[in-house]
Amino acid sequence: MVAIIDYDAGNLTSVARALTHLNYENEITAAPETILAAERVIFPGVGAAKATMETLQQRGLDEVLGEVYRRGTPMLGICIGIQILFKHSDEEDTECLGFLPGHVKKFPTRNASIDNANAAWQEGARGTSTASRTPSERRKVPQIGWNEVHQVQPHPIFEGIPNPAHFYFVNSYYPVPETPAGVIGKTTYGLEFCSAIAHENLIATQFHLEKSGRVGLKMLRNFVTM
Amino acid sequence: MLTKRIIPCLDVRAGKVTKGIAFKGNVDVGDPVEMARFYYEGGADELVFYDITASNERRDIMLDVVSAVAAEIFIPFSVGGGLRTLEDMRRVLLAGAEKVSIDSGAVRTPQLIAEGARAFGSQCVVLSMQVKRVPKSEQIPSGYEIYIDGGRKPVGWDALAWAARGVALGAGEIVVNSIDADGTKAGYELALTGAIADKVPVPVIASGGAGNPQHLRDVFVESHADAAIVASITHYGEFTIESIKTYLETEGVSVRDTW
Repeated sequence: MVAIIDYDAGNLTSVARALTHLNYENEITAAPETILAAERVIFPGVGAAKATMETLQQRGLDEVLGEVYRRGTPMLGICIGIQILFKHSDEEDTECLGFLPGHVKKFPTRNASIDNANAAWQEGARGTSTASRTPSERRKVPQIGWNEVHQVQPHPIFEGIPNPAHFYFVNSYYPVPETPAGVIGKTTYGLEFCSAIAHENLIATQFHLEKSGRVGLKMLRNFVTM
Repeated sequence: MLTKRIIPCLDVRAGKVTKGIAFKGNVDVGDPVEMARFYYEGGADELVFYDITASNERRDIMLDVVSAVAAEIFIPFSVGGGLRTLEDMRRVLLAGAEKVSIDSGAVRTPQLIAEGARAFGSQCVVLSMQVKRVPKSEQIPSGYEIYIDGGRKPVGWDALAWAARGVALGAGEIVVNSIDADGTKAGYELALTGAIADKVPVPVIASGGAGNPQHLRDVFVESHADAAIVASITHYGEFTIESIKTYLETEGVSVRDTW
């Protein structure tokens, strides 16, 4: 059975639906005994680091996840689930679980070219301003959409996945591990960042496996069967 | 590199897909779950469903559609049409939609954007706007005015100002639907889409007017749209998502590999 950690955030049901579609028994739960008895644990979701950590602490789930980690039960973090594994997130200056050394930073926000374009528009001088810029100069935050994940180390979670492959991202923040040892996937959004990490029994992705079509479902299947 | 998204739009009335031609004269073309699967397997990057059911009591049918789609389709999809309250939004998200798209409801109650963003996160809240070209005026300096209720009722707001306000309130993406271009198959409204895409710091989705793959290239390259909605050009088999992507790649536009 796969336990999906219930912390009142969005997206829990998407992961459950994907697992059900793959015919894997799953349960959305906050019950420590259920989580500790599970063969696999998934921490999914879209959310803010601070609110997520507060809910985990209120429910004592930070301790439970620590126990899952120590016992060696395979655990998959998705999106906010990769970010909270690190020591600290810049999002509202939040102390996180600290299973992995490193921290979480925000993508640089709008760059000067957008502001210049706005100024030009307001002066009625649009047209030349946009033609002189290429789309790659623009940086919208959050990143929303499909981006390439480059596998930089082989790992069973990538079995059968093309390299690179596109996955669905929704994120304003990105993990910065202290060491490159566990980084298995990298993605570029203005800057290159760690989009997948593996360390002992922990695997985590910044992208949404449950919304990434066939490649995402294949990676979920790999996680359950590896 | 983040790819440009192609988003087929399915108009749903009483549980059936229709395609609006300039918001009028809808014709039934199929089952929404079947069409969603067709597009999912064909490489669509995302889907949008607009519920155009007129009466309230039949809206539950839409929730059934959302649940059925969510059980089989593992790419993001948004649902719009007739969402007026936070509870309306919650029901759609719980049924399995990734995002909600609010339009006339947001114009009537702008606070709905902020409430939705607070409750579910900005990434769940898409502000869709119906825009029509009008003479420039003090009230509408850009010459683009917001309309509501299926493009029938002018609001007296400038589209650029509304886009900026929507983002300030918490909208995570903006759909720019040109009433003038919709149904013409003559191309997206490039100037309007570009003006908004360059103004707001969130992704902008172009809607209305796609007649061929070059129109998508134009709105991505010239207008910096992050995504484009398609309907008739793919619904009736004239083009496939794959053929559009193949063309876009030859034009240097980054698209998602369909594996």
